[in-house]
This record gives sequence, structure tokens and C-alpha cells, in this order.
Amino acid sequence: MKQFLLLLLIITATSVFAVEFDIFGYYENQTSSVLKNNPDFFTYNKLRLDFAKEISPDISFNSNIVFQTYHGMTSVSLLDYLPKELLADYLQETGMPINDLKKEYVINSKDEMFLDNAFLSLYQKHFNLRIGKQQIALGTGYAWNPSDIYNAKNILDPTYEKKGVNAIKLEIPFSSEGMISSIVAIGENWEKTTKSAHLKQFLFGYDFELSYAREQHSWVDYISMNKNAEDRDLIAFSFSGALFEIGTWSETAFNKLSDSDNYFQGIIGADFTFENGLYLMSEYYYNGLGEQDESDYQFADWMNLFADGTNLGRDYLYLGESYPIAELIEWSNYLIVNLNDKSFTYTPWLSFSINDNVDFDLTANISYGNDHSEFSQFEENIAVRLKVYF
Amino acid sequence: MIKKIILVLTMMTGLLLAAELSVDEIVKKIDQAEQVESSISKVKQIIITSSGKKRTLEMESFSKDKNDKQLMIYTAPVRVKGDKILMLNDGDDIWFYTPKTDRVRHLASHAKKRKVQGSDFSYEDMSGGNLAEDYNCKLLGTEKIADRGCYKLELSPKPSGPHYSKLILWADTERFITMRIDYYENNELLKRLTMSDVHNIDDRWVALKMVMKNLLEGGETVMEITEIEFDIEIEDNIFTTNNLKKH
Repeated sequence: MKQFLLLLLIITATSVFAVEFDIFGYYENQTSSVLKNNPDFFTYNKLRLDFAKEISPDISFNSNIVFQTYHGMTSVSLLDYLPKELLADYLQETGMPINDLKKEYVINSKDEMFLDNAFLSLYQKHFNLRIGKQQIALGTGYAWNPSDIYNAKNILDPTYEKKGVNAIKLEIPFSSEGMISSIVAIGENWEKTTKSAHLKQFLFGYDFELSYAREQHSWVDYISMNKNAEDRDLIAFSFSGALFEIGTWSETAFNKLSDSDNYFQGIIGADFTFENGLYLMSEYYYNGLGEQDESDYQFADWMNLFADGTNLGRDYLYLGESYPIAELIEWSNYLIVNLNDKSFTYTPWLSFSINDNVDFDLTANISYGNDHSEFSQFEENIAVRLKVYF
Repeated sequence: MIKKIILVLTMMTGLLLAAELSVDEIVKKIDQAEQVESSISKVKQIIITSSGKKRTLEMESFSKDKNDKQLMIYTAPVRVKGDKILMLNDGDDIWFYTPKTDRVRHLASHAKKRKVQGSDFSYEDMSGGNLAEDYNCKLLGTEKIADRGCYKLELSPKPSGPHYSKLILWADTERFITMRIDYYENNELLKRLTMSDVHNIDDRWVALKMVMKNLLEGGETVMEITEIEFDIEIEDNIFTTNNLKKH
């Protein structure tokens, strides 16, 4: 109720000052249902209000507030999505009754309102500076971005907008197509502050980027429930361009950890559009953090998968296809395969432009794999999404 | 009988005009007429589907160095507001930026065949280019388009040109501006671009209305230039990828 009143207050206030701000945004409704005998439903309503103001030709302010309500099956226990044998082992190790343990791993989707982005941009001849909560997009990968230390990606909807990161970003162009930049995402102290430096250059038809990043990586020991932290240094290189008319991109990242084993992650991708509008793409992902054998998937690996989408396996293939089946209707199909445990998830996606500012999407997830495999735990579901821009 | 004489005279006039200038000279004059040092325009784009549904987009367009550099910024509707397309090197290099993800993407050459924002114009249709550099040209004769005498040229794309197998272009014999283009793929007519509403602005002939008819799917996209200014100072740095994220 408080959130609703606050929203009302913001709308009223911004209406009064509408002359000052450019106000726009969107409303999004998504309803999904798990495909089973007694289907569960889950719906969210999302209202995003954007406020933009050009203070001067060189200074601008942008922000948005998200108000989101959840309905239906808003409470789930992550333990329900674990392979049964792994759960039994974990119960034995912790010695806790399952009902008590389940409560520890319940995710509740509660109505929320938050400032997603609020940043000031300063554009000067020799540098650009952006201060505040802002979207940060790094890397050339479509489904995975090993060089992006700031964001977790949802492989089932990889192009969805990213949440804002509280950061300072400085960009210094050194040529018309070259730039060095630095991002500092403020933490509790300098040690817990994530920082990165980037060198970008467009050369011979390719975009190249070399990055260095450092963060304090934290994780939970799920047996003792203790929180741990260690330093993570990341060196990444990415490029994108065309090779004989085929779009190609790659992103590689070497991760050096202060206490744990170092690891390497990388992607390589290609895409092509045919004369009839058919678009095909593929991306291979090598995940040095992952396991080659599904029997090595640990409880912590599964929790990391649920928390931030860190995949369990070592090798993945992402295949995508998109085709305009009619005017204003796009039919896409995506297949994500874990090449190690041979499980996969298939996502057909139908997008329809109802109006200049209204989009409708119908999508589903169909997964296959043996009981211990990664994607066998993904529930088969169908979802509809309506998005109205204003 | 009189009609026949008029027809013969018209054809003779056309042939005489064609004989006066070589194909290279015609192509050079078309390039000169259509390539401006710089321009800023506001454009309305109306996509009309075969079933009559309409989608209207608006954009601001900037060009410099005889269309070598182009920048398009979508201003409406809200769904695409802030999306930007940067074209450099006569459209050989194209970048797309969307504020939704704050990401700049360099389009691979195959992606230039894709429709821009669902319209009947592809990225390569929108890029400036240069007839003399991008095509092998052949003069087919003269024809009338909208009561204007036009040179009819067959354009076969060079490797630096677009993906079409050939284009047939009609250019005004006096004003040297394009009046119509037919786009072919494997001898199949795919699309027809027709120019109209020609005005003289700042001593330049400009077609303020362009209609791209999709002859396969049945829809069309109308582009209307609502405002245009020529030969004005535009800073070079707006045509850089670094500038695309500027709000």
C-alpha cells in the first residue's frame, strides 16, 4: 500500500513538473503456466516509468522507477528443483529435516518498487562521464558474456533489459572509433568495489575490446552456511565482425582467483541472414567452471544456477532461428544444449506487433534430459507477455 | 496518327538525350545531384501492411561528406525512441544502438539485408552509397515517369554494392534525381521505390516522398521528408560509435 501511495505521489509530482521532464515508460504483463496435470500459474505486472531531462547540450539526467506486483505461485522452494539423489545426500550432510531445510531455500516473489536507473551523464569533447545507477552492457556474446563481471544473464531471455548497477563510468575516446573506459561499481569499501578498465577499437571491419576487471567474489558454503570471499581478477578479449558475410563474434575471459582454482570461459558465435529474411545464429560456450560429468554437479553448483544462472556443464551450444512468418509477426526458435550431460531446453517464441506501441509475445519452454541433467530440472511451461509503451 | 507521331518524337527526343551524354556522365550527374555536402532532415516513415495495418515511425536524419556518413535517430513511437543507426564509409559499416540495452552492435554485412524496424527498407536501401563506385551501369534508354523524361539505367552491383542481383533505375533527364528504382533478385522483381513530391530546396531538387512497395509481400513503406536543410555545419564527432550512447 505504501508503495502504491509512493507511486501515486511520483506520478502526481511528475505530472506537475511534466514540463521539465520527458516522461515515458512501459507496462508489461507476463503470465506463465507450468505444463502439468494441475498447472501452476504465475503472473507479474510491471510498470516502468522513465524520466529524462536534458539539462544542457552536454549534461543529461535519466532515471526509471519499476513497480512490480506478483500473483499466483509466488513462493517456491529451490529444493523442489534438485535431483532427488542430490537432495537426499544434502539432507544427510546437513542433518536437517527436509521441511526445515525447504524453508531456508524458499524464494518469495514480493511486490516491489525500486529505482532501477538514475544517472547523470556529462559529455565533453575529450571524455564522457556517467554517474549513478545505470545499465552496463559488456561483451559481444548473445547468450553468455564471460567478460561481464557486473551482470548475470538469463539464457532463456538474454536480450531482456539489465538491472541498473550503481557505478561511475568514464569514457575517453582517443580516435573516432577507439576508446578507453573505466567502470567503478561502488561497494562497501575499495576491496568490495568492482572495477574494470576497457580498451575498444574498430579496426579492419571488426570491433575489438580488451578488458581487465577486479572484484571481491563472494559465495556461500551450503554445508556450514558460512559466507566466503576472495579476489577475482579477470582479463578478457572480445571481437565482433563479419567473415565472408557471416557475422562472427568471440569473447574469452581468464579468471584468476586468490584462493580457488583459476578458470577460463569463452564463447564463439556466428550468424547469417538469408535473402528471404531467415536468420540463423549459433554460439558455443566453454565454461571452465563447469563439470564434464553430470555426477560431479554439486549442491552449490545448482544453487549458483538458480541464483545467477551459472551453468553446470563445461560445454554448451546455443542455436537460434528467426523468420518473419507474416508482416508484423516474427517466429523464433531457440535451442540450448548442455553438450556434457546431453540435456537441452527448446524455446519457441512468437512475437506480434499489435500496435505502434503494443507488443505481444507467446513463448514456451520444453526441456529434455535424464534425471541428473541440468535442463531436465527446467519445468515445461508456456508464457504470454504483453508490453505497452507510453 | 498524331499520337503515333508524338510517340515517335518522344522516343527520338529520348534517344537524342541519351546520345548527348554517356552513361558515365549520366551516373556522375546523378551522384552529384543526390550527394550533398551535409543535410539534416526530419522524416516520417509509415509502414502499411498488405492488410492495411499501419505503423508510423519518426526520425531525425543527419548526413555529411556526400552521404559517406549518416546517422538516423528514431524519435517516435516510444517503442523505438532513442534507437540509432550509424552508417559510415558509404554504408559499408553500420552500427545499431538501442537504449533498451545500452548496447552498440556492429552489423555484419548479411544483416544489411534485414528490414529496418519492420519497414520495407533494408539497411542497405537506407545507406547513401555512390552509383559510380557501387555499380556497373548500362543505359537502357529513356522513359517517362510521372510525366518526367527519365534515363533508364540497369545497375549491376559491384562487390562493394548491395546484395540485389540488379537494379533498374529511372533518373530525371533534367534534374538528374532518381524517380524510381526496381530491385531484382535472380530476375524476380522484389521491390519498387517510387519518388514523388519533388521540390527545389536551396537550389537542389529533392523528392520529399518515397514509397517502397514490397511486390512479394504486398505491403509498402512511405517515407516523407517533413523538414530538410542542406549544407549546414555538422560536427564530425556525432558520426562516431562513441557518440551513439549520448542521450
